[in-house]
Amino acid sequence: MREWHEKYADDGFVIIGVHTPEFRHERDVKNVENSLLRLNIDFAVAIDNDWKTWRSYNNRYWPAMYFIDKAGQIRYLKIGEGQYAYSESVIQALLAEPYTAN
Amino acid sequence: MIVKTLTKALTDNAVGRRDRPDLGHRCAVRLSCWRPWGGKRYRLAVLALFCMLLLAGCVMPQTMPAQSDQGTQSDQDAKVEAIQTRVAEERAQQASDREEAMAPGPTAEQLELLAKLRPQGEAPELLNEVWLNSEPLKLADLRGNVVLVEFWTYG
Repeated sequence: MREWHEKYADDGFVIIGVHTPEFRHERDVKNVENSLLRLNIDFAVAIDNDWKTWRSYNNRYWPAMYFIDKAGQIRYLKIGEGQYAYSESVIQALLAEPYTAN
Repeated sequence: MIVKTLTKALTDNAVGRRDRPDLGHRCAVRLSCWRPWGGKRYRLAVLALFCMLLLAGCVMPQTMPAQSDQGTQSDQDAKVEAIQTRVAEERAQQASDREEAMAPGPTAEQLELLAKLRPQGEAPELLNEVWLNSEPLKLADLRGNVVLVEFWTYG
């Protein structure tokens, strides 16, 4: 993820981590901040302590990745770890896709 | 004196007097009135001089135009300008090539993949107010970007 952020940020790729806590101690923003430092994560992270965004996505799993195209459409949902090469090819294809703002 | 004699000898040759076939010999005969050395050496010297003149004749036409090229300042300025224009054009071409390389459009494989990645509906807006590493973001402001929303927990 961090690698993708570094690699494609200049091409118009934005990663947003939505931190939805499972346990009580994960609700502490300080703890999340520390984990970002520890994992060297510098992309944007939303604190979803009240599960608002989780619910609006109707999400059920950690981790879950929603790949959203230039027009704002969800094009691919990846649940769980792995298949990183395929996910990266999805990012590349979506970046290469032509887009005209309407 | 020598030049005069040589010129005469050459003129003789040019008008086609064939009675004395050897030009070196003719030069030597004409110069014999004041030769300080033996005839044979003198003939050789005249031949050598003649060869040098020929050589000079060959080299001069090549060097002369080069000298005249360096001639006027305005000529040089025009050349420098032409080179600068060409360099600028080449740079512009390279820049546009780079831009094309940056946004090449999908390859055949990517088109195939994109066809499989059917739109599954508009991504719901992000509803959070507290953000780390960034000001609060809205998907609506990110149109034109490819966005990856990942639900995660550090635990």
